[in-house]
Amino acid sequence: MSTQDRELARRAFARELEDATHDFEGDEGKNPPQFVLLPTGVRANRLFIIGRLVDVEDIGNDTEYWQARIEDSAGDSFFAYAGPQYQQQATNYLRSVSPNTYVAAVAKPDVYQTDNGDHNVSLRPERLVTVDEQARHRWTTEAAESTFDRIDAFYNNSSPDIDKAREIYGTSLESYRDAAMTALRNLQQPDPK
Amino acid sequence: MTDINQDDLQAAAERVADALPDDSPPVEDIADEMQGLVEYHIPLEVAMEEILDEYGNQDPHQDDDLNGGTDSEGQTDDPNEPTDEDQANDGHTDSVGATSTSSTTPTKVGDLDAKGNWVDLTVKVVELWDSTSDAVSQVGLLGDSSGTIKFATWATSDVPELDENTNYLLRDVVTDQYKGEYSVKLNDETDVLETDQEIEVGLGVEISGPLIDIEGPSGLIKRCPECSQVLKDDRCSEHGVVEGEFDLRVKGILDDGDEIAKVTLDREMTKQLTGIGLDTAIDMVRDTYDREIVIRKIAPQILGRYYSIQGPEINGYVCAERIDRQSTQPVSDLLDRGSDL
Repeated sequence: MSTQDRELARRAFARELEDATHDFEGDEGKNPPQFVLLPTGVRANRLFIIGRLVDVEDIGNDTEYWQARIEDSAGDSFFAYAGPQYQQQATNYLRSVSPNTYVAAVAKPDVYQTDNGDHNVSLRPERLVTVDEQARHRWTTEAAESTFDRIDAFYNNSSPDIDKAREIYGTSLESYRDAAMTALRNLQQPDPK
Repeated sequence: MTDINQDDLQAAAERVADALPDDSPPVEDIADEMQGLVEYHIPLEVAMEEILDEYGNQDPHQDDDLNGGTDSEGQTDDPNEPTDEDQANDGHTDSVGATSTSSTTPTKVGDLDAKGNWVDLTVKVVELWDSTSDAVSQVGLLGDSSGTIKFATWATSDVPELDENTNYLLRDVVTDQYKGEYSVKLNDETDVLETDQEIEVGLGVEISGPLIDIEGPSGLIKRCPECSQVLKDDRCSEHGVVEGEFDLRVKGILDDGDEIAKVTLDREMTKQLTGIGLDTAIDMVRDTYDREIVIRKIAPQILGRYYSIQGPEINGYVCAERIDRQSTQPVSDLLDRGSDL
């Protein structure tokens, strides 16, 4: 697989990802990639996140199916789900990992509708590994920078994805900026671990 | 400017002029050319021999000039054109056109961005590889401060073999491009001059970001003993079923959120990052009969970490020669930026 075919891994805090409700199919080739449109106007086929694993639970009935709650540095949560058939590495990992570990996930986002009609975004991890505080710190600053870049572009530039995001989600992006600011300030606190 | 004793140079030029046929260039021109060579750190004796070779032995391209009466620079000739050695020894010469390029400045390999150009390079031979083609007598990697580039020598051409870790001034090589990648070809027009000039080979490109994926085949692999290709089910695509040699490597994806880069870690780099060396890897597989165990042990140690990686880019992969973990970034500037948004 060449890098031209590979989709970028976006950096976003959970607060922005959980507001995403719009997904769509790309227009390239025979196997068009699936995207989730982020409220800041960028399409995400893949995400790279680092956070603290706070809960891990097998919620499967007949076969195991793991739910992992990963809290970002702002205190908001990503939810990742893994089964043995399609997310073997992540499943093996979640079977044995203890909570309160820093984890990195490379994952595909999925928008789904809950029973009461809300939209939620879950993550299907391609890779899930334990990382250290240094990696979490680096991710947090990178995700903050990337969020600020997207907000900048949203207010100052125009692109089809930005226009679509304006239409679908509106133009209020303060809470995503606030999440990034909270995450950055939390880095300045002593490590809660 | 290199320190050259002008008296020595003049004396050497006179000795060369004396040894050459009467219709050779005047001694001043020979001194100029020698000065040019010496400035590239070509030892004086080698420079003398080079000029003796140049004007003392006729070459067939200059014969063409004589016969055709054209003023060819020699540089438009097809580099594939076979040499007719029989024409080369009639001892007659009158042309300085073909090789009087000593005043051109050597090009940096990192600046090569077109095919079909004739350039001079001052390079170190970084690696020599086995040629897989009968048409090519030598193939490998050349480097200078700007990075590295592949080279190939045509089997039909009369070019001396290059030695690994040796520095050369290569005059009149032709640039080439294949699948977006540049290379240079050594041909009959190429002059190969060993030089004692210090050459620090640049590390090529620098990339950074988290390692987010690993591609196969990674971990413990087997290579063809003939051509070093990675074997698939003990088969080389070139040489069929062979007794492979074990090696350790990782092919990874670095993704900084804006760009994706592919990277290869060789045996040493893999060991540096993971502590797992080739012997350990072989033991692991012998103990478990599971070749995938090696990459399963390596992956959790390197995935999700931020790295800064330097190395030459070959076939779309950055071959890591230097790897550092990226340290944390200061938070205060970002807080300022966020407050201003």
